[in-house]
Amino acid sequence: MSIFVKTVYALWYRHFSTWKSMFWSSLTSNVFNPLLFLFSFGFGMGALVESISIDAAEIVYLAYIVPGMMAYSGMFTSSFETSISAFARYYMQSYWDQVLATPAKLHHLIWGEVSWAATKAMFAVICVMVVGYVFNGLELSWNVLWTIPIMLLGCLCFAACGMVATSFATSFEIFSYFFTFWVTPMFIFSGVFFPIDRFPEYVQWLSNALPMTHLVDVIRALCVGYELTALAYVYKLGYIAFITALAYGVAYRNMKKRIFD
Amino acid sequence: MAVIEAQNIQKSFGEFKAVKGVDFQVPEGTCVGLLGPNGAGKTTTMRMIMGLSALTAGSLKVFGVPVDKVGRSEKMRIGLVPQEDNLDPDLSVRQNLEIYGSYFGLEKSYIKERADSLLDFMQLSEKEDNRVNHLSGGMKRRLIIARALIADPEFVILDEPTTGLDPQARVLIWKSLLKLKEQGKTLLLTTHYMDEAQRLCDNIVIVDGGKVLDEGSPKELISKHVKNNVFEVQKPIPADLEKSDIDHEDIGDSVLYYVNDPEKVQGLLGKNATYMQRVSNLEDVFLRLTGHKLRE
Repeated sequence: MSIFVKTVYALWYRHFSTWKSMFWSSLTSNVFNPLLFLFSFGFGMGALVESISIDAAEIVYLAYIVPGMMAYSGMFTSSFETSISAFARYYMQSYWDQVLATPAKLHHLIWGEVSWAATKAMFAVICVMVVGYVFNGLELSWNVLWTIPIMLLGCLCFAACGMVATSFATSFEIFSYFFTFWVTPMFIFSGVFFPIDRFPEYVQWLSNALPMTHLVDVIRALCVGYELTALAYVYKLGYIAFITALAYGVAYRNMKKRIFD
Repeated sequence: MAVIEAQNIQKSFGEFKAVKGVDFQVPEGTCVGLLGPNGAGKTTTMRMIMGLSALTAGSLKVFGVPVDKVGRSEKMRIGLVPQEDNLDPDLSVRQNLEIYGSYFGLEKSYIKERADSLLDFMQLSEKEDNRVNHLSGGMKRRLIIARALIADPEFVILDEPTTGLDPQARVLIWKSLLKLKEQGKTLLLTTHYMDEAQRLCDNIVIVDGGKVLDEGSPKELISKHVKNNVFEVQKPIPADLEKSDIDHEDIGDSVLYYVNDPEKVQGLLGKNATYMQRVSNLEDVFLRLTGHKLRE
């Protein structure tokens, strides 16, 4: 194993060890969160909108929101982990100083944070999938299996974006901007609950700039079986990968300046 | 060979100069104490050695390697005991050691072996499964020292290792540090406790305002700056004593007289003088060099 992989794994394992002791509370919240949403939206909105049509196909509303919920849980969990949680470790527990006094480097440290956040988020995503399956909102197919690596890419992307917020943060207050201007827009403008073509065109521009919109689109296409062209897949996943790399680069540069100056 | 060679190292944060040109060496197998009041630049110097803070100017070599070129192999040989408690509060005592060891890329079996012997060395074996939150201050410090030793480093940096501890806990830590010295490890220590420095250090570097004021062995520094004996004489000072050419320092309400031969002062004190006589120590050197004024 290369030193890079070994060190990132060691850092990942540290987060996993602390999480293990909170497994049951984590499981409970990850299961109840989608349950509450499905209950409210499935019965509330679902009563108003029985089905949604995409490309002439009618999709039951429950089946429509489960993929949205998957993307949302992944996005929220990974964003939270690399923003507020990572900042608490950095700022209050001096965890970063502790690690950087060892042969581990800043790249390892950030990858440890990001990879852990994505892992934790995937746990939340899988909980949503199980809940969705139990309530007939998700049909199992080979295509659904593909959502797992794609969700993982999405979670890495949001984790890297959270790291950017942390790299700028000087106090916890800063994260209210991060949630108001980044996480919440991805919740309401990215097609989690209804198609974005209901928005006026200028809002759609904003929607399409958010990586979440493309993730929701791809995940939904795979789950409910509507067609996306190969080019759309390449473009959408490529865009998510590009944002991931960009966010990682910005977070790394900022953190380096901050820590070593 | 010197483990640390610092030549004219400087560090500025914006306009503020925290370290203004410090020279010192840490020869292999010795314990060097870096002493100075709060804000003297000690912690910044330590952070520069660890590569956690970049030098503004000067040359700093760690194991003969310029600090900006220090890599994995050098880092493997250094253990750091930081000033603040940065243990992992969510992990157990043993996990704190083992997970920290994994950041060095050490083999699992080796880490386990080291953790066993370090828990024993620091008298923490009974607490190995406790969460760190449940430890006393002294136990936490011992665990931080054990953690710094997980990769069996040759060089250990200790930033105020006993601050805030009760006398029993301090003695226990001193004993373990003396054992490390016996094992031939090189130590760099900062402390505010002069008795600690006097007991542990072969060489002492006194810094203040980002500069080195003097350095030498505790004995050398004492005989150079404050002789063997110190008389603290309350004002008013007897006329004979005041006229004498004995080395002294006015500290406000009283005057300190430094002499090798106590009788020299005793003869001049007269009958009514209020004074205290004692053997001089490193604290006297420190106060004489850095001044008696309170630092904020």
